[in-house]
Amino acid sequence: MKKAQYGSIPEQRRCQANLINQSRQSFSVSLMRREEGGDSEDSKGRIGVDQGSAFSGSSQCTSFESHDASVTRDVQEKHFLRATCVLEDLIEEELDRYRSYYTRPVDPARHDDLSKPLQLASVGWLGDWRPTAMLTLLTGLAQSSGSFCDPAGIERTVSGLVREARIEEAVIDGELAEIQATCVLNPPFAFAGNHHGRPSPRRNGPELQKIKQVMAKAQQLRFKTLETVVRKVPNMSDAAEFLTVFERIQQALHRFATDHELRHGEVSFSTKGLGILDST
Amino acid sequence: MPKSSTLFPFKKTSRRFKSYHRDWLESLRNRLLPRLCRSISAPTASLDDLSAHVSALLGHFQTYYAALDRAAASPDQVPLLLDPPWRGPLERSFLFLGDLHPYLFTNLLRSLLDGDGSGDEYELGCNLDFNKDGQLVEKQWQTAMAWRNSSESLRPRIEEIERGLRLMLPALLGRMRAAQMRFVGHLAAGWPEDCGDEAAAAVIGEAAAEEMEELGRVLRDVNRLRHSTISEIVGATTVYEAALFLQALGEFVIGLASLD
Repeated sequence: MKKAQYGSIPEQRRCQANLINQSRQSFSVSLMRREEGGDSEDSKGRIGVDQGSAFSGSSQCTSFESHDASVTRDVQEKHFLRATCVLEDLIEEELDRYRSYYTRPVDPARHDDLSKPLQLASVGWLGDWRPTAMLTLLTGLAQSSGSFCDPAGIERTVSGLVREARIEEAVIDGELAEIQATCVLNPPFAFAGNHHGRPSPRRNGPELQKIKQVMAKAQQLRFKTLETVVRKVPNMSDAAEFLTVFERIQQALHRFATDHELRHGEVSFSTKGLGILDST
Repeated sequence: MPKSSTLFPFKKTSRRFKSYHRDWLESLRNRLLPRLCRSISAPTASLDDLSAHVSALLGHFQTYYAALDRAAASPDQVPLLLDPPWRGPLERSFLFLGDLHPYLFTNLLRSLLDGDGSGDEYELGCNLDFNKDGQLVEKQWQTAMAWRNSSESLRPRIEEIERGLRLMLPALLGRMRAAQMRFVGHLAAGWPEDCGDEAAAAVIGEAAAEEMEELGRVLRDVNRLRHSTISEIVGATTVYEAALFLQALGEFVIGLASLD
């Protein structure tokens, strides 16, 4: 699960996430105003963002004030376009952040993975989010939350992607299972002297290399799935909304899993009738 | 009925899995495996001895899977059992749903049967001893020739076991995936618009409780597969074959645990 998101989130990232959110919120405010003002422009497929709040907190923010009845259509259009660019940039930055995380070299021996057991069990697949779970999350959110402009468009986009991602997941599952089931034939360790000696790990052996390759493939599929769905969703503000909620869900899940680990950090079992001596 | 998770940590008859796993491994490494190996190679050891050591080692694996099953009965413990922190990260990457892949057992048996199990590692023929009359000790001969003289019914039996695994394993993975999808679905359906921490934790908690119940069942089912596959293999082989199979399996488990 994304390390950068937990613990110390860089302030800049938090601002950006807020900004996307503000853009989204002001998007609806802007729509309302336009509707109240009899603006007949079709809201679907357009990013109409109230520039005042969209730019607040950004270094580019200058001296825009709130809407005024006298603001001309041209100026409004210009502001909308600028806000669209801001939203586009923010989405790209978010994607870049996921890209750099999901394309970093994979090392199965690393201990610094901050994802918690409950996170991995609940949505995990080869160490991080299951790609099809990301897609199912988006469809579910689009259906139940009122914050998405084009739920039908989202569903259309996702249904095609789910089929593809599911096949690719199954292929990677098969590759991993093959390694796990045949590692006994070419063990990732060697016994010193004869097989009664002490085993020593083959850290650069072919089995571990294969594991690394499969994990890297899984990372690529994760990013590809996220990137594709964000780019293909018909409405850009829906993409931004999804990235925002996805981030929040990841943080909430991480908090919950951390708390769960504190409460249930040990595994116990009843030894009754098993003939196992009590713990020393 | 009270949940087992609330009872187990406080009952005197309960035990921490981490320390159990450590002792289990120690016992395998220092006691059971050396005894089995001695019994396989020592000319003086009787067939009864060999048979007793085979039973002891099989029992060791069976007890382990029974303990895993009991631990998995508590949904709160399922996340840790699926990615056990008492096993190192390198070892964990070779594990399937928290332990050895069920196919690993049949693959190991096949490799022994086909005689390509790591070259001469499992080859015992070169160590044959003769008694004072120059006769080969019967048990040793049987052990050395175990795979060459294996019963004709063994291969069909392996195929039968593998067919069972082929049917069961994809279904188990499918159930795990479906449980995750339901979890995500619940999360999306109940995700609070106001993003309050407490409301979010409540939604996650409810969805996770249901998911962990199902993942616990999946875990127990895959344990049963591991447990039954080992038992079926030992049941289908001669005592000599079973001894060599369990010896190779025990060594593999110890080797894997030494990865980290």
